[in-house]
This record gives sequence, structure tokens and C-alpha cells, in this order.
Amino acid sequence: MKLLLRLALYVAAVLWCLLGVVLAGPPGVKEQPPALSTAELLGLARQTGKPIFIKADAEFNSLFQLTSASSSERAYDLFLIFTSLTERCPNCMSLHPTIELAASKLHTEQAAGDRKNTFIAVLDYADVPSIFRRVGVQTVPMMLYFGHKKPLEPVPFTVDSSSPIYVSLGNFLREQTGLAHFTLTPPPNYFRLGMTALVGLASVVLTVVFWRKFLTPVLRIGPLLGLGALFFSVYMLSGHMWNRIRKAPRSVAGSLISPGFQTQNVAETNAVAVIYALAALALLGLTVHIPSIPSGSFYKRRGFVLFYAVLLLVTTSVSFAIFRAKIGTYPLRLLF
Amino acid sequence: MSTSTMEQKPAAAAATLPDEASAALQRQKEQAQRSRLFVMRLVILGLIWLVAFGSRLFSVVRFESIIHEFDPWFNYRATRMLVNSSLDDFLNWFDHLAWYPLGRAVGGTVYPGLMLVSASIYRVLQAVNIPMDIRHICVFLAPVFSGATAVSTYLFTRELKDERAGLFAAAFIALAPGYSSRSVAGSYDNEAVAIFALQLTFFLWLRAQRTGSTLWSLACVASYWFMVASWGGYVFITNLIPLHVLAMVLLGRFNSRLHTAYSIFYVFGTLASMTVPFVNFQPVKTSEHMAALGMFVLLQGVAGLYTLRRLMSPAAFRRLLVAGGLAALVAGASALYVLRDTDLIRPWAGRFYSLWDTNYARVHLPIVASVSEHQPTTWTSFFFDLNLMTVFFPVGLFLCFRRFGDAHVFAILNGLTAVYFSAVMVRLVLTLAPIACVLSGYAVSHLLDYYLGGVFGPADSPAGTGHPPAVGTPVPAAAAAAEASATPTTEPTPTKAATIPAAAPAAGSPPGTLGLIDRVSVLLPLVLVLVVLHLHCIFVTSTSYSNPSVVLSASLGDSRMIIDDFRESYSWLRHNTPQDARIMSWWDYGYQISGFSNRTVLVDNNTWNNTHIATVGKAFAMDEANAFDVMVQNDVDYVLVVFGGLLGYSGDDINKFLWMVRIAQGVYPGDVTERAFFNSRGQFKVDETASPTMYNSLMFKLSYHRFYSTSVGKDRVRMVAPHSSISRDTPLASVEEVYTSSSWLVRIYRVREPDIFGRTVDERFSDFLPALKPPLAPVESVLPRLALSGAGER
Repeated sequence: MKLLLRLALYVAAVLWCLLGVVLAGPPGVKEQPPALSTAELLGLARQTGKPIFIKADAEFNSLFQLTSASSSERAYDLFLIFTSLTERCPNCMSLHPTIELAASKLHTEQAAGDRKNTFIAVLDYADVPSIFRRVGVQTVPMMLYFGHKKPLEPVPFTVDSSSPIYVSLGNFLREQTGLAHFTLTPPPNYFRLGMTALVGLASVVLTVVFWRKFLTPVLRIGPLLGLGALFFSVYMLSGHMWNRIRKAPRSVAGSLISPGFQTQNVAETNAVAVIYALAALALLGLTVHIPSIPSGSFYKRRGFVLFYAVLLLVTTSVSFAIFRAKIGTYPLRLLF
Repeated sequence: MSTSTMEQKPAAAAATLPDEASAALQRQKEQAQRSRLFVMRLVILGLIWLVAFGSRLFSVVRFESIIHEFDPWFNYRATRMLVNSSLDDFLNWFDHLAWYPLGRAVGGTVYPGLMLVSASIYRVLQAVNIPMDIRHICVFLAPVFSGATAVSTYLFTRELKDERAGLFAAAFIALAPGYSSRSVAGSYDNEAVAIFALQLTFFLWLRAQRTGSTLWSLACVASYWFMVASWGGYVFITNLIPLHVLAMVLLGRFNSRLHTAYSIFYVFGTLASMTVPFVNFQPVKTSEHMAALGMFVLLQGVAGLYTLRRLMSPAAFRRLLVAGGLAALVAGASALYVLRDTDLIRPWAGRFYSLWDTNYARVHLPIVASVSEHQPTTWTSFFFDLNLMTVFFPVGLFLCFRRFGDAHVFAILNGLTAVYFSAVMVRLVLTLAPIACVLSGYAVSHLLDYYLGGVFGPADSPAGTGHPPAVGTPVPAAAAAAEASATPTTEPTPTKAATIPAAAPAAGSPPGTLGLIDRVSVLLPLVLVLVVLHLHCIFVTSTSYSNPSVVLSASLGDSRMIIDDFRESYSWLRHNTPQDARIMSWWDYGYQISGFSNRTVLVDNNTWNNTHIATVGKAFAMDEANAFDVMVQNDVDYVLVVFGGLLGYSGDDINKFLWMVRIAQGVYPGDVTERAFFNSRGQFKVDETASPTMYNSLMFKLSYHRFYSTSVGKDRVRMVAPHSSISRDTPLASVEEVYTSSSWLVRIYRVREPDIFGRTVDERFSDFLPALKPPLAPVESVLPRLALSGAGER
């Protein structure tokens, strides 16, 4: 009974780790705002604190043009985001939450009716390809800040990989809008926090349960170094260096695997690393843990033997399955 | 299986027996057992050799006995040269067919080991009256040597554990795709013999530092010499062995055996390596080799300190240590500073530098970045090349930490460095594969030791980590592990075996108490996994690594079509152009043109002169008039381009074109700009939206000239129709078409004569359109789209 409980704990911990990898992709965000005239667009933006989604050429023209009263001035600044919110542009997808955040932050910090108000307008290639052609946008995401005064020379904002996007975008907007205290801080990711807490909790529980029998020998320095080497090589073998050098996207539109030989994404390499590590731990359990169980506790040993054997078989099968999902023509399989 | 090696007599076990007669009987029995096992091991190794050889013959069976790819063609040509002349002639060979007009001093720019091996085999066979064409020797050299690699891997792994682990490792390396990718029949490249030398050097080093024998050390030097003569990857050894020595010193395992082995290795190894003309004075001048020198000096210092400690009082010794350490630090730093400032030591070579700073190559060295072998490695590549060894290998690493003998320290360092480098550069998976096989064999054999322990009788008491070795029974692996403090000839005492951390848990259960269910439930999955691993290795070697790439094949339903355009065209060049004709092509095809056609080329796969390559890139990238000038300046007679648009061969020159542009831009930024080759939407296109620079470039025109006359219409690689500037009435002004192969894969043009009145191309041809020749017979429109399983991959 106690053994079964421990097995269940193990399985639960493994499942949690897997779930964390599978589910941690960014949620896709796409809004469908009703849009008509400039006034309505602005009104909506003021009301909701969301960026303006431009859905038609006419909207863009009316939003962008100068007011008739004074031809040298527009009533507001415009921050245009040329983007493509499909899986073909993972960078755009990962940028978008920050844009929404900036819009809502601007909404709360700017006094209503101020002439220097800034509005963020998002142009999705799927909606208005004609504008992209007219402006001559060649790469997305492209971000241009248009002040309200002439000359209408845009200030481009380029993503700089040296600092997080919300920091550099916050600094940029602070400079352009003149709001002295404008900064962007991302909302806490409760999902990830929860996952971390759960995984941490699971490890603590496992540590407490297995402390004396299993973990004490691990804590000796030699095996600890060995584990370090093991995880280092698993990290390397699961292609994480490729991710670092090529700056791989985290995941492409929520799907775990980017098919093909030459590309990969972070989520899939994480999954592979977890699979490899689990298989390696199963082998280690068989080679190191089982012999350390005293010969008296026969059923305990048999339980662990079966557990490790099944774990080995399942993880290796999964690695074949992932590889087959990647390379469609690959014929080999183990269990599934 | 036996637990004792041939040289270790089980004296202790025999001495405990009272009865002389039964002791003799026992000895006899053990002797018989040992020789039986010895024969079995020989047979198994022989079978492994056969498997290694046989699994690499797919390309010969499917195609023919032919040299593959690009670099092997140069090696083959050089070997023919060596066979037909003397060694002196070979080392002094100045090849005027390459790098026109510069030429290439081959003797000083080539690793001659491979050619020497083939030529020696050829000579020996000749001497015993077995006439064999040198081509067959070259084709089958790599498969034969992979069997030898398996044997050297066996020896290497035996140093870590025992014969069982060795046999597993040998079986792994015989099949591992990461190694077979470079050693299939026809893949006549340096790596074919170098991996054997690598493993052999490692084994001999471990043996040398274990025994401290001068003979073994010299054997290690000889093997290292062979390695240096064979492959530039010898630098891996040059740095790994000093690293091992450093680790040993830091672990407090310095001893006179290590001192002897390394001193001999460094002094004689360096001298030996300098006899290779290509290496020359590099071992004493470049940074890659400085670690070995530094370690040599350091080791002498350490040896001196150990001697002093014996002679001095502890307090005096401590004072000396502090003062001497500071002085050495200051002296070393300033010496390094002076050496660097006086340029006596050159900084790291570019290719090695890109290993450390992964962005360096992309920014500074487009020629390095353009080669797909220099890209980082995806997890699919690892899985493809190592399969589940990606799991066994880390486990083996971990187990090495438990045992942690001298050989294990070496295996750990080897494994960790190799896995890092192979992750950064996909080509270096080749250096990971051997150690991955060694450690996988190590891990699997540990597992089997325990779960098969006691099954085959009590004589089979295994030496696994899980339980202590029986008292008094000498266990070779344990002996190696306890080597740190023991002298080589004495047997490890039980106390020493017990001091190995975690090797003998007190409450350990002997494997004899395992139930049948336990054994089966472990062995069954393991065997399954190993079988699938085996199938994977054969599958990969067969489908992906056995394509000659000189000959292509396409499947037409259930039949097969051989596409032999390359050899067709090279043969045309050989028979239809003047002996001294100079042929311009992208560098990929240089070796093949000089090898097949025996004609002069401007650039080839040696890529030693970036400017020259950039000049060729510039000629292809510029418009016809300017390209004509460049070609005339370089005395080009013929231009060869590879065009896959009709066949669907994706590795053609249009797909490589951006790299040509980039490399040309690096040298001629005023003439060539990469941006201009992208259309208004930032795409690299050949259809109607192509940028003017693109569709005016020589490469575009040469590729799509008369493409309209085929009934295909669409380019089958890019899946678009080419830009309409290539239409029926546009003849080429600077060149004329002389040959196009049957599937249009290779197109050859003759450069027109320069004008005797000094007019430019535009002036000459603006009002003169040469009469258009009737189109060639239309190509069959049902040409198959290539099933590109591996043709364009590597």
C-alpha cells in the first residue's frame, strides 16, 4: 500500500513536469473590435484601454490624417504596430501582450482630452494587406511612432535583445509621450507561478518521503557532480545550444512541435530534455537504486524494478514518437 | 565471463586453497575458461567488424563503387598522384589545376595520412600479386577502418571497465550513424581513418598513464602522429590529454607514471606532429597548442614540488609554495603578454574561435557560416545520429563519477567537452559519437552485469557498481579504479576497493537474489530498446548516409531512375574542351571538376583564399557586362552552373546564391549588395516580383537561359515561373551555351572572346543578336521530382 502511494507520487510528479512543458505556451490573443469612424475608434480605445485594431483602409486614412482645423497638427500621437498575429510570425505573437499592456497603461496614465494623448494602433497583415504595401512594410513586427506635430517623421522602435521588451518599450514610450513616470511592468504570470509552486511542492514532498533511502547517497559530492554532468549532457543533447544561438521561438502557435529537420522550438526541446532525463533516471534507478535495496525487502525491490522498467520503456517510446511527429517519414516505433 | 585479464594471475585466490592438487586443477579450469572467453571475444569482435563493414556497403550495392561527394574527390585525385609517383613528389606537388592563376602547393596544405594509408595498402597488395584498382581501395577503406575503430573502441572501453563493456561499445560504434555518416563505402575522407586513430590514441594514452611505461607512451605518440597526419581534429587530442593531466593534478593524483607518460607524449608527440608539412611549426606557435605546452611546464613544476616536499620540512615547504606560486603567476602572465604582443603566438584560428563565441562566425566569417556543417545542432540531429545513446551516454557519464578512476576522469572530460562542441557545431557530432558509444557501452554493461549476474554460473560473478567485488578476486575495472594510490602491479586490497565512494553500499543486495520476473522485466525492455536502436542505425545509414551525391536517384513508382548528370557533364568537359581550359564554377564543384574532368578551376573546396572565392561570387552576382569583365580578367573559358529547377534538386546554385552574394559583398562591398537581391517585400524571389539586380545577375541568366523551351514552365524547386526577362528572344551576350545535361542539372557555357577593338560587351552586342540556335530536343516532361531523402541534406 505504502509502495503504491509512493509510485503514485512519482507518477504525479512526472505528469506535473510534463504538463508544465506542454501547457506553458503563450495564449493566443485576438480581439474583434467593432470599428467605424475615427471618433468611434478613439472612443472605444478610451473606454476599454485596448489598442485600436484597424480593420479597413478607410479607418487608417481617417485615423492617420491631420485635422482639418489646423493642417500642421493632429489631435493625438499615433504609435503604429505593423504585425501579423498568425503562427507564421512567432515574434509578433510574443510581442502582442506587451502592446496590450502598453495600451492599457497609457489609458490609465493619460488625462482624458489631452491634446498630446497617444493611441496605439495595431495593423494586422491579415486584415489590411493594402496598407502594408502602401507603407512599404517588409518585415513584421514594425513599430513606428508618429508625433502629433509636423513634420510627420516617424520614430521607429526596434526590439533590442539586450533588455526585456517591456523595459525598452516602456523607456521608448516615456521619451515619446513625455509622461515622466511611465514604465511597463508585466502582470504576474499566475499560471507559471502556480506551476513552479506545484513542482517545488512535489520535489519537497518527494525529498521528505525518500530522504533517507534514496536522496542521502545522492547528496554525496561524487554522484552530485555526476548528476550535474548528466543534466548538462541532456541539456546539450536536447538541442538547447541551437535555441540559444538561433534564438528559437518559445513555441509556434501553441503547437509543441515545429516539423522538419532544421528547426525546433523551445517547448519541444524542453519536452525532449524531460523525456531524456526521465529515461536516464530510470536507467540510473535500475543500475544504482535497485542494487542498494537490501535483499530482505523483496517486494519493494520488485515494485521499483517494474516501475523503472516501465518508465524506461515509456520514455524511450515517447522519444521515438516525438521524433516521428517531427520527421513524417520515419518508420520506427517502440510501443506507440 | 572471466573477471581477470590475461596479465593478472589469480594468485591470491589460489594461495588460499590448502590442497596443491585441487589448486592446480582450479588453475587449469580457469585457464581453460580464460582461453574459451578469449576465443569468444575474438569471434565477437570479428563479427562486429563484419557488421561495421557490411552496414556501410549500401551505396556500393545501390549505385556502384564510386567516390562520393566533394572532398573525397580531391583525396582520391591526390592518392592517384601518390600511387603514380613517389612520396617526395607528392609532398612537393604543386597543383596548377586548382585556384587559377594562383595554384596550390598541395604537399604543404594537406593531411597526407589518408593517402599514405591507401597507397601503402595498394603497394602491399601489388607486392603480393593481388592487383587491385586504387579506386576500390579508396572506396572500401572507410568501411574496413570502421571495423578497426570498433576494435580500438573496445580497447578504450576495456580501460574503463572490462571486456563486456568493451564489446558493447564496439558494437555501438560499429553502427552509430554519427560515425557511419563519415565512413560509408566511397566516403573517402580524412575522418575515415582519423576516428580510428582518435580512439586508439585515447586507449594508448590511458594505458600509458596507467602503467607509466615508456613503450606504451611511445605507442601513444605513434598513434598521435598518425592522427596528426590524418585530420585537423587532432587538436581535440592535443587539448584533451593536457586537460586530463590537469584534472589529475588537481585531484591530487599526480604520480610518476603520469609524469613519464605525459612528458614523453608531449615532447615526442610535438616533434612528431611537426614533421607533417601542413602542421609545420603550428604546435609551438598557435594558441590551440599552448595548453599542451603550459601543462608540460606545469607538470614539471608539480613534479619538482612533490620531490621538494619529500626533502623539506612542512613549514619551509609551505613558505616556498606561496612565494614560488606568486612568482610563477607573475612570470607566466608577463611571458604570455610578451609572446602575444610580439605575435609569436597567433590567436585562435577562425573556425575554432566560432566554437567559443557562437556569434563570431556569423558576423565575421560568411564562408564558415555558409557551410552547413558549421551550424549548431538540433535535437533531431542528435537523435538521428546517436538515437537512444542520447540516454545511455549521460547515464554512462554519471556512472563514471561513481567509479571515478583515472580512466573515468578522462572519459568524463572527453564526454563533456565533446557534447558541448557537438552542440555548437553539427560537424563535431563526429567527435561525440565515439565517446558516446564508449559510455553507452559502459552503462549498458553495468545494467546487464547486475541483471544477468549469477545466471551463467558462479564464475560469472560480475564486477558491477552495485555490489562489492568478492574479496581476493582481482577485478580489472576495480584495479583501474583503485589505481590512484596503488602501484600498477599490486592487486587492489579490499580496503582500497571499499574506499571507492558509493561503490559498495553496505546494505547492497547481491544479484543472485533477484527473481526471474525482476530480471525479465528489465532485460526485455532493454533488449527491445537495443534492437530498435540497431534498426534505427541501419535505417539511417541506409537511407541518409549512403547517397554518393555525385549520382542521384529518383523513385518512379516502384522502379528507380538514376540521374547521372554530373558525371555526364564532367565527362563532356574532359572530352570537348582544350586541355588548358579554365572553368569557373562555385567552389563546391571545384574538386569534382578537377577530379573528373582534369581541367583547371578557379576555386575549389579547399576555400583557403576568401578573396578569390569572392571574385567568383561577384562574377555570378553582377550583371552580364560587369561579369564579363571579371571573367575576362580571370581568363575564364567556361562557366558551369548547377540548376535544379527542372528536376527539383534543391541543392542548386540559385539556392546557394545568397551565400555567393554575401561572400562577394564581404570583399567587394561597392560592387555587390545583399539587399539589392531582395525584392520590394524583402523576399529572395526569382519570379515576376524578383528584384532587377536579381534577374539581371549572371547566375539568374545562366540558370534560366532557354528555360522557356522546356514544357515545365515552373521552376520545380522554387515552385514559380522565372522572371519574364528570360524569354524566347533574349540571347546571352557574354557567354554562349555549349552543353546542358539531360536533366538540365548542369549547364556549361563558353565565355565569348574579348573584343579585339576593346569595346565593352554592351557596345558589342547591343545591335547584334546572335542567331538563336534551335532549342534542344524537349526534355521529357515526366521527369520525376527527386525523392530527396539525403541528396541535399549534408
